[in-house]
Amino acid sequence: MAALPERPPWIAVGLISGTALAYEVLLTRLFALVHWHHLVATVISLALLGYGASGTFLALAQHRVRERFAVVFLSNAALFALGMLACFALAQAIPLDPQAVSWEPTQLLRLAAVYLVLALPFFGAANCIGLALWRHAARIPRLYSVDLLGAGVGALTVVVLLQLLHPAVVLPVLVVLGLLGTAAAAFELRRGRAAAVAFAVVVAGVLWQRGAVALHPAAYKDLARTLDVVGAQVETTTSGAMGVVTVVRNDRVPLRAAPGMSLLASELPPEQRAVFVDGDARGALDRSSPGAPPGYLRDLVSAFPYAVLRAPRVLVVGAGAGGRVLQALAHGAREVVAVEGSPQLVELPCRHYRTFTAACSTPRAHWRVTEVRAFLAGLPQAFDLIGVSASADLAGTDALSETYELTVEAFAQYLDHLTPRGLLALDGPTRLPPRLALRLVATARAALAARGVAEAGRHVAMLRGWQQFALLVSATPIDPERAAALREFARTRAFDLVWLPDLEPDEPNRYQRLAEPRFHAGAAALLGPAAGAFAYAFDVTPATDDRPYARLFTRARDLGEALGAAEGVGGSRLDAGFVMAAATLVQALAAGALFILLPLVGRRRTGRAGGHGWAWRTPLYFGLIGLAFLFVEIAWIQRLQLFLGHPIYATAVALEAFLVFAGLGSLACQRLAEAAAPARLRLAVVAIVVIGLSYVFGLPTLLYRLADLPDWTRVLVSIALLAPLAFAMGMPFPLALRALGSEAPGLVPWAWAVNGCASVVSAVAAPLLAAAVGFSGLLLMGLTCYLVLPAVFSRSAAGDRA
Amino acid sequence: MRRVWYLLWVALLLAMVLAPWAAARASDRAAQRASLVAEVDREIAGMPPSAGVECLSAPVLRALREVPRHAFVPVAYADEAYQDRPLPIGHGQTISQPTIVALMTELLAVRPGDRVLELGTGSGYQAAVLAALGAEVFSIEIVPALGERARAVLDREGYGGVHTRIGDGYFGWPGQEPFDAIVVTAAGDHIPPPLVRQLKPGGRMVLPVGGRYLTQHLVLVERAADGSVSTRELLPVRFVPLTGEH
Repeated sequence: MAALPERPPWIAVGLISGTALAYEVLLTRLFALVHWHHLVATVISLALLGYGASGTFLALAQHRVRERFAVVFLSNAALFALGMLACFALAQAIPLDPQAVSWEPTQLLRLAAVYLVLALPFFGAANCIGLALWRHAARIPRLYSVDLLGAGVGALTVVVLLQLLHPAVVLPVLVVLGLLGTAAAAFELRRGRAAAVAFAVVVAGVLWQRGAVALHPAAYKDLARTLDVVGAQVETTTSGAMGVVTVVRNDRVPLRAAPGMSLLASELPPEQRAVFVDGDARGALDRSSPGAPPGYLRDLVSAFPYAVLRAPRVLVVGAGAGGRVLQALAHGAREVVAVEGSPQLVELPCRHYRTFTAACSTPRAHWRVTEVRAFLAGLPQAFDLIGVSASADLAGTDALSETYELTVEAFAQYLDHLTPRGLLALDGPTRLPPRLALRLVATARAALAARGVAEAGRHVAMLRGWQQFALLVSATPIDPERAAALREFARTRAFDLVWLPDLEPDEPNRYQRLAEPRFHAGAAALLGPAAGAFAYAFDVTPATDDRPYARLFTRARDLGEALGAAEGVGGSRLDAGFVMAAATLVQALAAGALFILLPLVGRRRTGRAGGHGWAWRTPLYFGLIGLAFLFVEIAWIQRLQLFLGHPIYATAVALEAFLVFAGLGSLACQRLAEAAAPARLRLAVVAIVVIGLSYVFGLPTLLYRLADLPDWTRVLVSIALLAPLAFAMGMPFPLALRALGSEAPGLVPWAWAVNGCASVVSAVAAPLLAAAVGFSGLLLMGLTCYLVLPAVFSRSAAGDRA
Repeated sequence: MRRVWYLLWVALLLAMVLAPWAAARASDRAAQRASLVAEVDREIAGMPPSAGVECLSAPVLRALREVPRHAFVPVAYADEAYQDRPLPIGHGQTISQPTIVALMTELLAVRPGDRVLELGTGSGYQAAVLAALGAEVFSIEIVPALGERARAVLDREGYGGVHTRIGDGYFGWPGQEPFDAIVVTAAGDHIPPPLVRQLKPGGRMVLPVGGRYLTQHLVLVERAADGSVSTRELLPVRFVPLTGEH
């Protein structure tokens, strides 16, 4: 057998790394399509523990795999490439109903099986990269830079692919890329070249023949249930980076969406089409013509502000399929500006259904594809009405989704863009006991207080109807004439007033009676002089841009208390999203601890002491880097979401820039003498902390000032701001891993395992920590972790010398 | 001929062996059902006043003891039918938790001879419980597979008098109105106004609000003798105390 080349398999590492990251992103899309989308983060986070398991495997197998480098590398590359397809198919075949977990314990086993199956491809990819780093320790900085640059290219590639193709088609494309990586490895390692090429060609041919992967959405998805109804049929499907949009029609059992429609409504909803994004219901398209918008829209809870507005200029935030635009038109709006983040949703009323609905075809409606905060930042005009629809899940599964349109800063921005007698209107689903409605009242009070309004109660009106509430906030006090009009609106539709400046005691609980008028009591307390002393079982403090969790009502300390308390039928005071994140963290910590400790047991059994000062500092150093890198990266991505105006693009730009510049930072360490490593590490950490701190204190202001720049300029500014930080952040890992490779090479796989596990734990913990201490706090935690690194590194070196 | 005799003997032997087993099984089920009903009764008696029901009436208790829930759930879940929990019945739908069925039935205040409309036949269990109270039940289902299965089970279990239909329930069951009670097994984003118009003066309508497995609260719609309509939101969950730090 020919000797292995001394050259690392650069191309294979880059391809596998890039494809693995692309697969991770793709899995989030595929899983959102076939399962409950709130489960996606949990499943994928835990599947990424495959990286941790890989380090453990390499540490335990030690020389048995190192001596068979080429065979192990090639077989793991093939496992990764084929596992992407096979494991996803297997995971789909496991009958999973996550909402039944609390009733059916076997669901937990099924969930665990899904994690394990999905972890397998990541395990294969991580084995390839970990093994290459271990075997070519002297070239770690360059190899690590190839790993990061490959991942950067992978991140960009998958976003482009998802924009062009359906996710079910992207999976075979990634399998082919994985096979290319395997073939490249065969050539670079000079092993089984003909077999690898033949294998890749045959599999690629079969995939080309079969085309898209079959997706089997779970029966409980909104779309699956709608299609079960007699007469339902899919009319339109479009796919893009934001999701798969499906439109359904039903001529036998007509679709009728009318959130919060009054029981006294005189008109019923017209012919509709139901709209789904990734299989989840997202509103409806109403058949309408420009001259005759549907009348039922006047009897919805969300029509509340129109009781006091005449021919208003309206801004609709999150316009979706256009229902609120039609509502504004139905009330004689002279102009409607509709802002929607998803281009595919905008295409429905503006292209595919232009003749079906008047939401876009009327000259009075103007649609913009952007997020509202970025849109308003550069806008001088004012509106008579800004309408925000605040969706929320009844079980609280969306508790940890960021909602920048419902923060104190967002309210302030809305109020700044209102005409003197303009109104900010928010509506959303009621949930008993009240939560979101009260948080929005508290947010309104905070935003009004920031403008110097002492008596917020005079600026607020609120009502509730069938499972919906509407809140109005006015920059100027609501006068008696307006109060009378609002009162009349509520009376004629049998809606209950929750708050008006001059509300009578018998008004709040008249039509849809509650045992106690909890909405009114909460609003009165929050708008009264003693709001600071308001005591409540749920957290309804206002959300801020730094802590943008407007749908999170569970406090960390409630978790243990509420889990132990019997609460009766069907109820829980805990937000399901928070519980799921906490449960994921516990699982990640347990699995991470296992993966980190197992190599220790193996070493003790085989009698190989870790030796050197690295023995116990390896987990500390590489664990801290794993935590710190992602804390800083996640905090940054959040900041950029607002600035760039789009979560998907912000994530893509930030991820891309981070990976590329961190890769370049790593590359810059390759030629550095080992003796100079501690000094370079100190320099990198000082740079990270200084830049990081300046970002904590100056970045929000800077980004706010630059928010009205054109889109592409904002992207360039983001990259320019990210570059120096990411460049410095790319150094600590390869510097230490190279030192470890030369001084205690047997510990390299363990370091790989620790880093993999810490990265998963940090990704899972980040939203929970951000909910508690904000993203600034998270960033500071990441910077603190970085600050400790030089001390750990130099002590290791000292230990080695001793 | 000999073969026929042989088959008859085998059948007889099987019947002799299986009959006691089936009887014991049926007796087990009845005991499990009685135990479940007692548990549900205790659960409801312990609910806060916001649930709208103080305790279950004798007719409702009797109906719950009579209807074999295990016959209405998929065979794979028959052994779990007498636990106080919702169960999946396919097509992303569930059979409600027995406590919720009991609560809704009690809130409907059905008397023998009442005409009751059900929207969402599902498993057919709720319709059977209403029929066991002596009501004339009209039930509509929008998922054909579920509606057909429920029809077969209702016939098999002796509830052939329940009228079923597959189709749109938004306008109720024209031609059979007015109804003394209406039960909607899964609330939509609004109460269909035409449905309320099918309710007799003095009639009641009940809707559960929540997810597939989790009923957050119930809504009781009452049509007064003068035709006016009011609703009550009933919370069977004890969240007290609703205080803590803000």
